[in-house]
Amino acid sequence: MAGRRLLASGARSGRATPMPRELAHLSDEAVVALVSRSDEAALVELYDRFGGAAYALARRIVRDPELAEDVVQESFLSVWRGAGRFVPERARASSWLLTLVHRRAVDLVRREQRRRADPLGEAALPDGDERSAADEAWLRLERERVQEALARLPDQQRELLELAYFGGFTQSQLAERLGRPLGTIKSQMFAALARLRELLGPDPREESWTTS
Amino acid sequence: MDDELMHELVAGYALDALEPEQERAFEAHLARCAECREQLGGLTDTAGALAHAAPPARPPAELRARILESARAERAGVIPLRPRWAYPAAALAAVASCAAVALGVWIAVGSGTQRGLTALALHGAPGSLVRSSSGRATLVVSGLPAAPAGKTYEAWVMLPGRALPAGLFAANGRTVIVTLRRDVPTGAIVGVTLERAGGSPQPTGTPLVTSART
Repeated sequence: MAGRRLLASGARSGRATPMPRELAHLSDEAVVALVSRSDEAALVELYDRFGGAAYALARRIVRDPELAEDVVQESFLSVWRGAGRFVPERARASSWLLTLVHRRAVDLVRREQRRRADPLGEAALPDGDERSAADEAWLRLERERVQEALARLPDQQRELLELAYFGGFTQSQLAERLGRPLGTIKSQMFAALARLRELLGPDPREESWTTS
Repeated sequence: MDDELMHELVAGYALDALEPEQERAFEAHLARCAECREQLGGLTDTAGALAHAAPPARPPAELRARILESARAERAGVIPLRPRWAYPAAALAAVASCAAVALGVWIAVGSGTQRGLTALALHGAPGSLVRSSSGRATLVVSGLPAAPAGKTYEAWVMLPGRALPAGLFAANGRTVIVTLRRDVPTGAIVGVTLERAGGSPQPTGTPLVTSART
C-alpha cells in the first residue's frame, strides 16, 4: 500500500489563502499521477509541497525573480500537460519535478547568457509568510544536510558541481573555463556526483514514512 | 563514442550539463543500457537534493493562483512533451516506470512494454485507474464509504462476458489506493462491487464504480 508522507507534505510555498488539504496523505508520486490527469486539487497540492523549493532553485539559477516565476509556472504546467508519465526509474517524484525546473532554468540561462557562477550564498527568507513550522524545519534540515555533504567534497569536485548545477555551464564550457580536458571534466563530474550521493546517504525523509 | 565512455555521461545528464548532441547520444545509450538507467534514478535524486542547497527564497503568493489559472485555461489543449523526455519508445518501458508509481508503489513495468502509463477516469466515484502498458494497474478512488458490516469492496477486471476478481479492499470515505492483483488487458474495464466479506468469485451486483475502457 502507499507510503504516507507524514512530515514533508505541508505547504512549503507562499499562498494567500489556505485550501483544504484533502490530498495531503498521498505520496508525492500519487500526487504527480493525479496532476498529470488534470486534477486541480492535486496541482495545488503539488505546488504546496514543492513550489517553494522549485522557486528557490529557479531563482538561484536565473537570478531574476520574474524569470524564476516563469520557470516554476512552466514546470508545473508541464506536469499538468502529462509530462508526469515520464519518470526515470527509481527517482523520486520530487527529484523529477526539480529536474524539470532545473532544466528550464539552465535553458533560459544559456539562451540569455545570464550565467552566474557565484559560490552558494546564504540569503535570509523574507518575512510575512505563514509556512508551517514543520515544513520550515524540514527545508532547513535538508539544506543543512546537503550543504554539509557538499562541504565534505574535495574543493575541485564541489566547484564543478556548483558551476554545472547552479551556474548552468555545460561540460564543454567547463573544460574551457577551467582549462581541463573535456574527458577529465566528464570523469570528475561523474566522480563528484557519485561521491555526493554517497555522502548524502539514505534520505532521512524515508524515516518519516510509514507503510500501511 | 563507445559505451565505456558513455557511462560517465550519466552524471552530466543528471545535472543537465551535456551539450545537445551529447545529450541525444546519451539518451540513445540509455535505451540500451540498464546499468545507466539504474544509475540515473539515483543520481537524479542526488541532483534533486542539490536543489535544496539553493539559498531559500519564497515565491510570491500570487504565483500559486496564476499556475492554477493557466492550468485551467489550457485544460482542453494537449501540448507535446519536451523532446528531452521523449525517449525512444523501447526505452520507456525501463526508463519510465512512471507516475503510477503512483502511490508509493513502484510498478515493475514488464520488459515488453512500449509506452508509459495512462490514467483513466472513473465513473461512480472520483478517482482514476493508472495503468502501465504491460497491464499493471492501480486504482485510486475517493469518497467510497466504509463497507457495511459483513461486506467488502471487491475490484474486478471486466472483459466481454466475464469478470475476474482483482482484489478486496476497505474504504473509509477518503482516498484509497488499490494495487490490483490482476493485470488489466487492453479493452478491459475495471469495476468495483460490494461483496460479502471474504470476497466472491463472481460479482453479485452492478458495479458501483467503473473505469473507462483501457
